[in-house]
Amino acid sequence: MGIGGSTIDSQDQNGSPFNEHFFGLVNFGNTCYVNSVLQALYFCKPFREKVIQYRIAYSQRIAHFKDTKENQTNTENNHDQTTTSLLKQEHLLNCLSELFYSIVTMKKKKGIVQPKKFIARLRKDNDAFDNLFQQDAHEFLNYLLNTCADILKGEMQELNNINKKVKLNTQNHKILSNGSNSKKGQKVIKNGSISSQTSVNIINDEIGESCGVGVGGDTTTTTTSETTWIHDLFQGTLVNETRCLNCETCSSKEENFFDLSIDVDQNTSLSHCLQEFSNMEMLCGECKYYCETCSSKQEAEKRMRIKKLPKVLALHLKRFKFVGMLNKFVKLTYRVVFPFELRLFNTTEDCADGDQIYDLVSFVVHCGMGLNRGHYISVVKSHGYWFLFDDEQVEKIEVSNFEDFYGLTQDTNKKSETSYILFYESRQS
Amino acid sequence: MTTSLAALAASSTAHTTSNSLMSTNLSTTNNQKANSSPGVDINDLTSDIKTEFYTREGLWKLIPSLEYVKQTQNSSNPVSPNSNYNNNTSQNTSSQTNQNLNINSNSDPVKISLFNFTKSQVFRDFYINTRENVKNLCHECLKSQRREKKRLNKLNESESNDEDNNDVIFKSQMYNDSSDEDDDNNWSDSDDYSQRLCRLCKVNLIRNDFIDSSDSESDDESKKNNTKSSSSLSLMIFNYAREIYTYESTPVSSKAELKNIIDKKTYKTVMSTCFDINTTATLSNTLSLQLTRAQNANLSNSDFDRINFSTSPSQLSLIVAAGFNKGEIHVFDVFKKDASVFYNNLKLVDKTSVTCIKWLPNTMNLFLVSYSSGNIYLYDVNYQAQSSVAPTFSKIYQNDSFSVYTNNSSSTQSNTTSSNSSTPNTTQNSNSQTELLNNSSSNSLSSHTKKLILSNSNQQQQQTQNPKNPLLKLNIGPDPNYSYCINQFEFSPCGKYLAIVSQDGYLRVFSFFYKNNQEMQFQLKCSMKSYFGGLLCVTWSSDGKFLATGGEDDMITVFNFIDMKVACRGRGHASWINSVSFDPWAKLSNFNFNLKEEIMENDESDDESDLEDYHLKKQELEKNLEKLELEKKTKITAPKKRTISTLSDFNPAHSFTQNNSIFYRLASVGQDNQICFWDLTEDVLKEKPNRSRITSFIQQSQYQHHHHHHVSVQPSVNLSQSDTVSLKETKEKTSLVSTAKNLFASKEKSDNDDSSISTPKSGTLTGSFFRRHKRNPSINSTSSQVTSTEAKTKSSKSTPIVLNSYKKSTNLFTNLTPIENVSTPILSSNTPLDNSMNSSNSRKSQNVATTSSAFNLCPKLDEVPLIEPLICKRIANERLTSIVFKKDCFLVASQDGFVNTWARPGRNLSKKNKFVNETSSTCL
Repeated sequence: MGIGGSTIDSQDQNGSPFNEHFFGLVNFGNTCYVNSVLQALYFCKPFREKVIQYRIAYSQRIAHFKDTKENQTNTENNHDQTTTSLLKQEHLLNCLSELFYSIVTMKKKKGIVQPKKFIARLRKDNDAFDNLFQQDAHEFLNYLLNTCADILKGEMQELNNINKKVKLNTQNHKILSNGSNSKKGQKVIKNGSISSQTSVNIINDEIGESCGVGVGGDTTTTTTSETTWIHDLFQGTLVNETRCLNCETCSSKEENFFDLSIDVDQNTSLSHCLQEFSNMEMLCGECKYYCETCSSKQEAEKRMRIKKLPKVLALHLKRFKFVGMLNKFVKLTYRVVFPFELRLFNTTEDCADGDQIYDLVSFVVHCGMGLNRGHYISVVKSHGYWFLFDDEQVEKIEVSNFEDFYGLTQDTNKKSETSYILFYESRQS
Repeated sequence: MTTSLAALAASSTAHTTSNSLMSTNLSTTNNQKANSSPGVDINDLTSDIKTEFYTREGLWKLIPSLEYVKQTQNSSNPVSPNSNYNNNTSQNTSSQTNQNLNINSNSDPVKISLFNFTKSQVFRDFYINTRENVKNLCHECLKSQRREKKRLNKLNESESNDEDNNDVIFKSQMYNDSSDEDDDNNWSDSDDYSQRLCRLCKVNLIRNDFIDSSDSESDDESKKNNTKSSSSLSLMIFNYAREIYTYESTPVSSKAELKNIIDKKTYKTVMSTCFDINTTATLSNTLSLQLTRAQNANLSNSDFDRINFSTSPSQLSLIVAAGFNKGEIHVFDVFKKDASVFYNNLKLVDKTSVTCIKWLPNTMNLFLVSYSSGNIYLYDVNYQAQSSVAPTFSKIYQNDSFSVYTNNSSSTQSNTTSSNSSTPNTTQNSNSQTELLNNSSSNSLSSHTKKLILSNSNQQQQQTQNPKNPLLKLNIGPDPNYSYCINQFEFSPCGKYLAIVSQDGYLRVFSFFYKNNQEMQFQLKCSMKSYFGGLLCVTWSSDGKFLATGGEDDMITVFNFIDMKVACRGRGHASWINSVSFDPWAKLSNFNFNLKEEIMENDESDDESDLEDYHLKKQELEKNLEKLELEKKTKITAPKKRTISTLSDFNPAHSFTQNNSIFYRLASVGQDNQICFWDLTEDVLKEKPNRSRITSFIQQSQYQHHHHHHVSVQPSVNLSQSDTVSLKETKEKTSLVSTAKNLFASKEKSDNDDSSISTPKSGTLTGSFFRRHKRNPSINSTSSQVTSTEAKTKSSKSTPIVLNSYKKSTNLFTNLTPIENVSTPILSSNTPLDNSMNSSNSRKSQNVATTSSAFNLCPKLDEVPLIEPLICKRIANERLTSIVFKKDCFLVASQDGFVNTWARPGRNLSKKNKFVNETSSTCL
């Protein structure tokens, strides 16, 4: 802490005061894979904002709920209970927002935070992480994003159900307003303080429509569940185009992604690896393609291109290759250079803003040689400066030191500190 | 082998593409056993490093015997910046064994530089650079001499004696060391001036013959008399980590084992990052040394041509400035141990790493140095090197693309003399102050002489001014407080322009002129943005018409400096590009351009523009009859040619029309260990892809201005004073700055757009107007009367529609206006065509033209041609950092300290390869 604090202090004195909190995260025994990802995400501004918004909305929900409870002590006990369970339930997103919120609201600019609750929750929720071993940071990121998205989806659904129930039972409007408020909480916060009355109206309309359609409630649920803010930020769409070499039929399949896992090669650039990712691939031999037209397995050409670019592009470099002979993962320390600014070459023609420009905001670095050994740190950008987060420690670093994170051009005994997950944020025009 | 393949196969997952096996997987070397995964060498695929490759010229071959290698690291006597360096001139044992260096080779790129001492060049470059026309000088040698004398007399009437004048002239030319004063005196007793001048001119002519006939049977006597080895000496310098090496570079054909190491400098604590040879100072110092030697040897006049170059320090001088990763600068003479100065030793000026260092063209004493902090400083070796106080800079100018600061640290007059004595080219003594201040960068013989004489007579004239190093600080970019690393900068062949590439992805070309603190010019001419990421390297074509950059988008970008637009991009590298270089000896052979095809593709007609074509053609034809014939031909075959192609057919610069084709060879090396060759041919450079028509159109019209109406072609038509730092007097300074401020303020008010960075134009307000009202229908309507075919282009792209129509209109009155009017947009309203439009609109449209470069700062991928490399080969085990072309070979340096020589195809060198462009030395 002392080290980290001092550099930032001096930075402050140098006359570049910025309203940012730099808090190291305590390592609870090989939890640096969590810490590094959390820091990287924390400094991914849109994500942080959403999480904080969630936290605020959450507390408002509770406040509203209390009000409701006080005002109507004798109405609808069972409904209250469901809401209570919804609100009181501790989950990963909850803990995450709590953690972020605590950092944001710190009086000091620097320090250490113990993500105790979050780690505990994580270990409780997922057995894979419930140990003291080093885990794959990418796996954790994946888990975190998916879980949060699921939680949000679940909440929306639940609230929808409540609202529906409320509507169907023709409950009194007060409860509805509370319920809808909590549902729309995030959106309300966004615009500052919208009066509860307007939001009630909106919700009423929405629900009215869905009820009017009859089964419309379900459609509303599905559409809203697709667009949680996690999806909004991280989800992109890949198009998997396959051309059967026998019948020349082209088929394309879309799939969504939260992050892209790309193969790495020695002495390449990130954009080259991305390009390779989308290059034409032959499906032959054992991995023949089952062609619907031919009704048989055929050789085919396949390529994956990006149809929808996400707001936050998370790129995972596949630095761990499973070596069958050794029955273990071997780390590829290849030097893969990554620019601060990125555009993708592998978008489809119909991709909106296919030449969207991305800025590097943070990245997770893996140090050491093995998948289950070594250490994770993260490097983040804040107000034009770069900071290195190593568990509790925070340091300002110079861009000239980034050479170390690209990788090694030859295998030496040198400690390898290689970039592992990179977060690029789309630049608003 | 099998295991590694298995590993790869197992690892290739659903998302993986398997064709990556080909080259990139294997790059690391075999010294991999120390890996933590014993038994498995993932990288142990056979390293397919190429040792030869074909282009259509033939086979390019690696010459292993000419491999320059970094020395072993156990340097016995490293030098710290403060002490004298240690010359290690022992014969080199090129050991490749010691590869495990303690140095992080990641961060210090190897750069190469070549220097050729040929007898003629020593004379030629010194004079040709200073002379408009060498042949005139020679043919009318006596005349010119008389003219010089007259001028001198006029300029300095106090100097009455002609003989004395001559001596002064000679001294000034030679910049003799102060220690050689005795020799100077000898000179004054010897042959008379005119004879010497004649002789020098003769050498100049001989040199020209060299160029023309490519060393083939030269009949000049000096050539006969001299063996090749002695008449020229080729040196190569490269840096690696803590060392700077100077080698004698043997020609490829000689088959000699190379490696006569001349000098090796080792630094104790710092890494060298870059260096540059001062050609002017080197040549003049060497010239003076040679002349002195000849004098001392009592050579007769006829023997005077026989100049031998050996590597003996007494005969040569090689002035080098080197930059280091902690910010220091070392200026030294390779051949003189005592001439060595360090700058920024105390890191008071800048603590960051030096990224690039370059001597100002045609100056003895000035160099620019860039830092990763984003600042560029101007140093003068004649001023005090060190100061114990950090310099304080005061801003004298700022706009949204750069800012200029002067060093206003309190100056101490007394120590100039002492500092001068320690400078490597100790040419001036204390009274050289004045001379220096007046020493223009153009450095023509006459003006130079004049200045020196002035300095002799009026020693006390400007003693009060005593600037300190660094003289200037330049900050490139919109915000001085947050600037980006400057990765490289390069002066144009003509020396007038300075191209800077930086980490923000911008290429910025400035016109740069520095005389002294009161007379300087720094003006943004144009800029370009990479597709994404920083730009890492830049180079000029030898004719100064094109720039090539490479960067973090893995692409080379060729920028047309005349049209001020991106000419094409090239994709082929798998990683960042570290160095690009034009091959000045590449020539077009057996390459047939099929213009007709291209024309037939675009057979839409435009009557009005055909009319303009006619006008253009007329002008052009008067100049060039050859062109006329070509034009006729194309007329016959494709009468319905579209405007754009007509124009572009017409626009090739003069040198191009001689060959009737445009051709450039570009080579790039990158961090993927690969070298790529790119052929820039006419059909690429006169690009015609769907969307880019529009933009090319306007810039073509811009180009017309320059081509026809300016003697010294200025790439930008109307440049306001607001962007020019041109300060003669302090009064003017303040007034100019204030006007600049006003303009700047108004600009700020009007537009804060990023793209305004590159609008070095008078009417910034109108420039921004354009940007805001791109889609303003009213503009469209006014211009619609001018053009008829605009609707066609609308389908192609939405944004530049208006731009398109405006370009049309601009083009129209550009062609019809009298020459005088073209360069000033306001005057263009006088043209008949313009009367049909209201005047404000016309002005706007002119500004469309001028802002077009801003608009097209970073064209989209499909808006410019995308070319593929001619060849793309892995030729090294490590990242390649530098490529330099020689007449008979090219040299590439890699990060691990190897400098390899690759022979050109058909190596009986020089016979087949001539200079493509005679005009290579002419400026734009």
